Amino acid sequence: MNINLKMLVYQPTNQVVWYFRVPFGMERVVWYLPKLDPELDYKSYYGPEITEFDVFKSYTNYSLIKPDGLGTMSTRAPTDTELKILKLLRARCCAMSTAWNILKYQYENHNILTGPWHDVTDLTVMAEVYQSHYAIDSVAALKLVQFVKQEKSQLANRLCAQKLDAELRLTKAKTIDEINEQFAIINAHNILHTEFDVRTVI
Amino acid sequence: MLDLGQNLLYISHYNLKFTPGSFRQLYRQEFGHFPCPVDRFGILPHCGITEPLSFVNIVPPAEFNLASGTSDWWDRYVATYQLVADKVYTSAGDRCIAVMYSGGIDSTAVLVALMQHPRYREFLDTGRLYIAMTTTSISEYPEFFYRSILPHIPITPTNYTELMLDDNLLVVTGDDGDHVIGCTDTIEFVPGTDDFLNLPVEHAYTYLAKDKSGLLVDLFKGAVARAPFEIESLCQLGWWIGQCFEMQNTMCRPYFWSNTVDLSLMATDRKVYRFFMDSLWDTFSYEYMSTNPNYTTLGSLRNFPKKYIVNYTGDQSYLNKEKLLSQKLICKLQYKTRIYADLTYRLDGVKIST
Repeated sequence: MNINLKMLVYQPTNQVVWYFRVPFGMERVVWYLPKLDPELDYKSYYGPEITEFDVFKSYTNYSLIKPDGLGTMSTRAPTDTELKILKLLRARCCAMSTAWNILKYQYENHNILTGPWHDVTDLTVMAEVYQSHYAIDSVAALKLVQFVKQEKSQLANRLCAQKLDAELRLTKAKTIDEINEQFAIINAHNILHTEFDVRTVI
Repeated sequence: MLDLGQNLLYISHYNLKFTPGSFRQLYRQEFGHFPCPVDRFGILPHCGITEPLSFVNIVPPAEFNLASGTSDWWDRYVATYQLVADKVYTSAGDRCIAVMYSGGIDSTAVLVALMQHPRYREFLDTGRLYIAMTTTSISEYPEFFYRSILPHIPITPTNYTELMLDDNLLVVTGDDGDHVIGCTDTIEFVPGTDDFLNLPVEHAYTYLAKDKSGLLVDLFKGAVARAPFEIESLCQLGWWIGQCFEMQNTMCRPYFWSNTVDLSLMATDRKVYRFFMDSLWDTFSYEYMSTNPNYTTLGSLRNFPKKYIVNYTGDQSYLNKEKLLSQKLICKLQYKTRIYADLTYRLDGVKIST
């Protein structure tokens, strides 16, 4: 079976910092890739399952290498200096991925991206629906749909701003402790309670 | 840097590490994450409880005369709405009024009070009164919304940042409306029954005895000993504990004040008029609760406000209304996790042991 690995690699050495495995046929599904850092490059592997070595194990011990070319993968143990850099980059990715899940919860909770209000531009057509469903006149219906659209737009804008804020906070963090500190602020910002210590996942 | 020497007005639970057996951990266990108990009357030291945090109280003292009772509390209750509505319009001056409307009992009662006031039409006709709400506000009381709000009053999505940064705007809320008569957050002291509010206060001590440290019993007994009148029922107890510990948290709600520069406004009603925290309601509340009014269920505590609303709207079915939703659907953000008495603030996740 063919697989697709979507990766972020440390540009100078092509060491894989972050990856996820997309099953065959699922390539079009939008996944979140925490590409926060200019040092990271996006690469993908597409081809048969890799049997020459354990990809996951190599990934977790930072020895997975993604050279150029779609169907190539290899391994090399990192030096101590490289390992320190890779851990910091991975910590940022893990923290942002968790932060994104917090925000994604809000998007889904408010049905912002998939609800009927997401793409609508002509509010009069929505007003017609409200008019018939709630037995209100056309003026009231238009007022109501304008309100709902405004509410959805405000929420979407606010969440976009939160995402940008989270990305900038984590990008600027220079140590693992700083990443944890910034993540705590992202949590507090959003009045949520995600317990997370990035040291446990790098 | 923990700044433990600095006096606080507010601290978020994000900044607290709840030491097992501490006052704050036990309080959270009973009342949940969000209340940030502030010892309004300096009761804790008398209960042998050491509070590592130092707060400055900004909740105004209540003025009451327990000897000035009335035989018709309902008339006085209705009159208080009108008097406070009058203060709201006067306080607004030339500014606009935004009523925070969740659709729940308290915000609906506030809106009804403002709608019944003689100055309502003046503000409405000059575009100076509107409602800040969410789509969930509609579901709480749809009849009222479709009949009385949608056709007549401008509506806008609740956006705390915009509301708080508009200097030409007075924000009116129904905050702590559920602390005027009893307290709907009263612990269910007698498990297995809804009818417990009129039971003697001693039931609370039995319930709280599950805490083997005895801290909560000491706390509640200490609070009762310092009440302005004799606390006889669980209804009075729930109300008094709310008065002792929960008012300041409401005044400092972080999503209101996150983007506000002048934090001195928190202690006033100049920017946010908390309708039910007005001094007139305080007086009513203290004097009425001193009579140990007969309430049994938490739901029955809302009889007065429901009746007030129905007298205006005519929807008799509203008297049986249960709470449907909450404003959790609003995107609330906080940018200040600690606010100090000198009005400086911090945003961080540093945990302080309690």
